Amino acid sequence: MAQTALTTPPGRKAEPLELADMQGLVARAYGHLPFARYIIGRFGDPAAARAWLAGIARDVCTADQPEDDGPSLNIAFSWDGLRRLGLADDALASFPRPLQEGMVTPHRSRILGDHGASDPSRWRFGRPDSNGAGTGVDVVLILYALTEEALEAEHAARRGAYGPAGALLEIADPIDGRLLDGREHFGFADGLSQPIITGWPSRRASIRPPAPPVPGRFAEVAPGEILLGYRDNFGKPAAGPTVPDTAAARHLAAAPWARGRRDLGRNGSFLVFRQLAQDVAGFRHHLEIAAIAAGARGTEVDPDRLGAKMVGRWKSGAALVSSPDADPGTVETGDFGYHDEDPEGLRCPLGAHIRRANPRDGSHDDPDRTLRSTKNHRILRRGRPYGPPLADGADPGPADPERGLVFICLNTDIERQFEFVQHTWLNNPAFGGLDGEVDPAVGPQPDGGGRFTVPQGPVRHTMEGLPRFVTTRGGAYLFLPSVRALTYLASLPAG
Amino acid sequence: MKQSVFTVVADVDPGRLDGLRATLAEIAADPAGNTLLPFARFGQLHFASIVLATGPQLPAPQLILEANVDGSADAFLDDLVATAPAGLDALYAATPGYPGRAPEPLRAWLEDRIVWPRAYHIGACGRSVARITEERRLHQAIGAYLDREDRNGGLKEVSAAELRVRIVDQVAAEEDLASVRQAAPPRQTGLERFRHRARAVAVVAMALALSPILLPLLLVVAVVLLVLEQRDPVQAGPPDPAEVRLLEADEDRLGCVQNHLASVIPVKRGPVRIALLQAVLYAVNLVARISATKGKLSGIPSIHFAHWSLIDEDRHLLFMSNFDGSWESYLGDFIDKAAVGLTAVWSNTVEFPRTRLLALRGATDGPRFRQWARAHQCRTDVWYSAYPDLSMPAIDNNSAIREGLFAPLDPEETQQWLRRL
Repeated sequence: MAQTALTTPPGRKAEPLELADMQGLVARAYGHLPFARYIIGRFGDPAAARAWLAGIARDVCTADQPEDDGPSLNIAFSWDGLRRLGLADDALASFPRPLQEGMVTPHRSRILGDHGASDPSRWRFGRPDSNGAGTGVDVVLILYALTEEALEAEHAARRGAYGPAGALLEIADPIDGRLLDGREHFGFADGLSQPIITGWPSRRASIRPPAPPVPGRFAEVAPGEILLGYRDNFGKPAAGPTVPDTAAARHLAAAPWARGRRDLGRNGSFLVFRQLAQDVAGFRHHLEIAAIAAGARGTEVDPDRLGAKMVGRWKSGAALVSSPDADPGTVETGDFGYHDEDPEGLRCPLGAHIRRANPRDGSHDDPDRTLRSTKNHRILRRGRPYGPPLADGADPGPADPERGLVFICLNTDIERQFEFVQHTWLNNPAFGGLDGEVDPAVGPQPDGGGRFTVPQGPVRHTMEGLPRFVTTRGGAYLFLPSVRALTYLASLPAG
Repeated sequence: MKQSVFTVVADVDPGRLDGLRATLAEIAADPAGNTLLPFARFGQLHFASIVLATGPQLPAPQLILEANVDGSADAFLDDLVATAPAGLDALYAATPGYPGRAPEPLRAWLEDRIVWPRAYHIGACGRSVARITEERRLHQAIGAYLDREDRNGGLKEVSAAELRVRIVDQVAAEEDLASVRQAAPPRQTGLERFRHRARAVAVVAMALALSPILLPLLLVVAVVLLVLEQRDPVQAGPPDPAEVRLLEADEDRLGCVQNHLASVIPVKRGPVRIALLQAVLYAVNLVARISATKGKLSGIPSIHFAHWSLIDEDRHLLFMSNFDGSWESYLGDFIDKAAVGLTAVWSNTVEFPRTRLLALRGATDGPRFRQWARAHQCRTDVWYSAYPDLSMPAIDNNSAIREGLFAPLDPEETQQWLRRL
């Protein structure tokens, strides 16, 4: 077994983490609060918006709070939203380019796979602004509650605070998130193998069924990979937005990389928000057809097994690397590699979803070096499913409601982390030496269907005609501020 | 097999840039098939690019035509002059002293403007465009055969050895695979290998022999460097977002797994820097000739053709690369896998992130290195790839399939060979 890759260079003390200044989403996915609502809004009158923000800033749930019965509030802003709130131009210019430009430049659409059915022109929200009449997002409020009634009551109370001046307009129907017993709609356990922030107090570790993240050499990343203002994997502070050193900013930490400025980003993160519709019936149908075709070849294969090959895990979440033959029903460990265990992909195919989303120690190159590189591209996922589950064997009619995943992830460098995972790993037709195939479960398949190679002896099997199962329905790049940054934003002077 | 990596660099009259830009746009609209300079007509051409560099420190804008070809530059120039006289007229209309399209003077004029790289890397070392494309066809044909057999249940309970025999028979039976049935030519001849090794041995021997002089000299250089490195200005902040958007507009095209990167950067002033740069490039080239002949350069498996040249009387360093994946992943590989070598080269050019003793720090400062690289990148006005959907590992895999097709394989090798399919 290879040596542990260190994220904190020897001799450097781990930085203390200021949990009380972080929003709760950094710490947890709120698995203990089953009802979630994502409210997508746009600011009306800036003064009213600031007053509204000042009113709710103190209600925001923080990372140091114990898990309680809620309701809990988290809040994130787009760059446009911050501009409308009245953040000064120099502060706006200090945001990284992805925040400034948003998710829908033509280049971003290409690398994120947002073309064809996922083209932003078809989105519910986050579409490019045309004369201010688009559906650009300013703010996303995330509510969690123990019961449906509590969620409705919380939303009603929040809505009541928008006020007569219209601090906030909800520009799309809010999306309700659900916990499907820790699974996503295709039926697979989700949210496994998350990165763990070095130095994060273990009693506050994000715990969510069905399995806790396992600390180990595959999981740990430097705080600055997820939290702005802390040192990242390269030992440099993750540089977020900064503001001038005025009286209003005195409570913010100094920004060591920008002399005379304060760190608006510290204890915050960049939040990627995407609504991803899943074609569950299509997914199941495809697996059944493929299983029948396998039967015609004389090989007994059940649809669950084919699905597991595409995902790299059984539905329980158990990894094919550790349980290649059958679903053991439980997840033993998240601490497995590919290099020693399965370099050829005979257990977990080289192009399977989890192998693309997190290639760990790789297949053929030096495993330690590969693992260190891999860790420069980790994201902390905080999404959950939306829409009603589709019962087994059910045939959805035309009136069947949409279902999918509200994808949320936190990272400090969207280009190096989220976009890299999406483009260089998931959507890359040349990933890991493969030739002309993208992620079988979530990738943007070409018209006419895609291909997926399943390595096996004596020679590989190829699944063909894979349709696109996941379609983007909306999205935005957002800033998840710290509590102190929220206070600063709420006290911005009138422009 | 001989392959040539070079650029043709010509001055441009700054008053006539608009017309040139229109010409470049016309070529860029369809690099393979446009009427002016249809790159696909050159069967020996792997990658080509045209970059109009207009750096503020250049005495005149530079029009840089990059060619990565099989065979000699001579043969390519002959073809170029014969195939695209109208295109060359349009391309060089804004260049003072362009002789016109009469073949002989034009040929000589172009040859005069060839700049040979100081260091270069070829991923598909010793493999021609024809070979790369026919080996892809071989892989596809075998794949289609396997899929057919698989659908009909023909792969059930077949042994590896038996399957291989069937595949070989199938390849033998297919008419349009005739060319790949011959043994693959060696990627590098024994003579080529010997020449590069002998040169390296000679260089090392010479360095050892001269060490009584070299070592004190190096010590002096190190001291000078430590002073210079404190003084040299570094890139001030992020590059202009609008400029980066322009660069990104051409990147990550759908259906293409490769990208192009070009930069023209002023070399830091003074004799120490240019001497160091030349020495480092010489060493990089030596290493690339000897150890990077199997596809990887410094552990980076994604580079098809890359090269560094000195232009503008050694005052600017030109870098051009044709690589797999995104700019972001390429720069990530630079930082993770090749920071020392790249820092040793680029720290001799302006505004490079802070270094220590030429090769340390520098590119390891990921965010600053990325900002610096973007700020100094030139827009690639025209870019052509003969096989845009093929990654370097896929090319290597296809070659290994072909090379193993008729080779004697033991049972273990047979299994490995089948896994490549």
